[in-house]
Amino acid sequence: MATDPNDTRSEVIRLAIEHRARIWGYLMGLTKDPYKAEDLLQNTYVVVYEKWDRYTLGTNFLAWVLTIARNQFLMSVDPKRHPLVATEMDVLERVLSEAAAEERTDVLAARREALSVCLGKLRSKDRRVMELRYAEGLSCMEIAKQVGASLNGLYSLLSRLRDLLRDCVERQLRVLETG
Amino acid sequence: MPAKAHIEFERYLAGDMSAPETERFLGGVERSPEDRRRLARLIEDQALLFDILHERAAARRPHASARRTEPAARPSSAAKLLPRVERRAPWARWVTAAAAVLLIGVALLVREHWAALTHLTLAPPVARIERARGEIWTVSDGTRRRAQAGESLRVGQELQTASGAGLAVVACEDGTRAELSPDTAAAFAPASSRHVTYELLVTRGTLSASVAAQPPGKHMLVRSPHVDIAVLGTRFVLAVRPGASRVTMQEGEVRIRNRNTGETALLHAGDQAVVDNQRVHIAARPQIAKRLPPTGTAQRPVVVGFTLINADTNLPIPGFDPMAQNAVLNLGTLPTTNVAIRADTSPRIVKAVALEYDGQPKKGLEGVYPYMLWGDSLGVVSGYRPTPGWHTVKAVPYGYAPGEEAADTRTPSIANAPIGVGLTLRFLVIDTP
Repeated sequence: MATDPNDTRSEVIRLAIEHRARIWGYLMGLTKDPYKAEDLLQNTYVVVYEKWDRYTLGTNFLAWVLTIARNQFLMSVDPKRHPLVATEMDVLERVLSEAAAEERTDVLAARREALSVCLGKLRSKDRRVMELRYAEGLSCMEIAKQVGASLNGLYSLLSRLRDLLRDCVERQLRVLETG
Repeated sequence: MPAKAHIEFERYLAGDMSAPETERFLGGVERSPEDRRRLARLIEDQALLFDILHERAAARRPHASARRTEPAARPSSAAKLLPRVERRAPWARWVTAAAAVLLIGVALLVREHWAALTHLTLAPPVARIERARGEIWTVSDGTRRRAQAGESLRVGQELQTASGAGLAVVACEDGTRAELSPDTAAAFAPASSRHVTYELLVTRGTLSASVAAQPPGKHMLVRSPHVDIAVLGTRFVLAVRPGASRVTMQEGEVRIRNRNTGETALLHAGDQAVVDNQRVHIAARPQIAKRLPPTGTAQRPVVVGFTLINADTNLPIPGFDPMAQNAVLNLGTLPTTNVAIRADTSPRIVKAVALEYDGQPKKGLEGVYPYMLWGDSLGVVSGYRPTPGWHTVKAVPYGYAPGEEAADTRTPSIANAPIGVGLTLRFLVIDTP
């Protein structure tokens, strides 16, 4: 029985929304620039909305959409000046596909809610570091200067904050599951 | 094999590794399942952190688009991607600096004379560059020159922003504001009809517009190569890309027209449309919708009902839109057991909604539509599997005080907010195949 085109289109849009964090994460991994990643994500969405009929329901959506994102990225940079781009794409696509296979997207949505709560529990100066990095898009070097830390000290701080947030998120999710 | 040092992951994510370091790092990640899991988790966490913190930053800046947070001196991503081992010779810096000083001097001279030469021949100003960051230019008669905040814009003059960090906010006399994101070009055109107040042509990039209420019988016309947008007063974002334009509504409504086919559509707050040469594709906005009421809305809000949402599809479940009092939810026959409950209010947008489930208040208020019992994220509602038995859900709305500025926040203060009329719904959950 033929699939209703409207169903396919709705499903493609739903999947694009569900996988938003992974697509953005992939582009962020490639660009290392949150604003560039956001721009490329929007370009990717434009292509998804245009080419939704090229996707076959039931096949690997993430692989399909990451190919579009990959092309958008390649159109925005000169690959000759970034010799590792192919390797980096392959590795990132692999790690994200493996993660997607292990975790449902609704868990990702729950993690976002939990993370939002956990951010509120950070000390204000630690939260400020996260804001400088992600809301204001400063480089680690710029943040280190602002907070008066060495670059390595900042890396350690970011790593420690991520660990704190990860532990907190896990606790929140357990509470949600049991509650 | 031991997991990679955490600091190495941070350096990689920040783009602070040289090419050989990146190659070694990625090789190690490829070989280690533990490292692959860690990297995936870090990448996903980054995305969620950006989403949350960016949203909060935007909420603290009413009527500012997200891109205003972009720092002026932020290096371009292309520059960041360059391997750190590629260093220029020390003398190259001095040569570049000298050339830059020379160029700046020449540019200043040209600008000074250009302004004097063109002042009398150009059309009267229609807008002013209110803010500028990074490099921006105006283009008149094929000549491009650097522009800065405070300058006037005239019909026929195109304003361009540099890719990377270029940004400009343009203000019209009626209070309309348009923000040009990096790598955007837009120009005011002569009004094509007496019903048009301003006509703005966007040829590339992204423009966020906050359009003031237009005089009766008139509208502002924003155009791209693919779409005409007739605006009476609203907020929206227009992204122009090769082959298609995207319109994302933040507030109010606009009528759009496909310039190639003539197809028209009405867009409301939260809608998104992609327009190409063939058609208008209407889609839900792929992010949390932020729908703001007009300033001064003082209507007492009412919760008019609850809707059962399929959390797998974000759509209402037929038969439960709205849910009836004492409704029976049979988990065995519902299309999904992953459901959510939405409180529906009148007016549709209120300041906040406080929710309770089985007598337990939900932590925090729902300050952004849709008002979901279990919240929503990334545009996707969070669902749950209800336990069999009787349950109650209660919602109390809070409105805006008269004259209060609309605030876009997920944790609104309701200290002085007028309380509306709440509603309690009782329903039974069974699980019978």
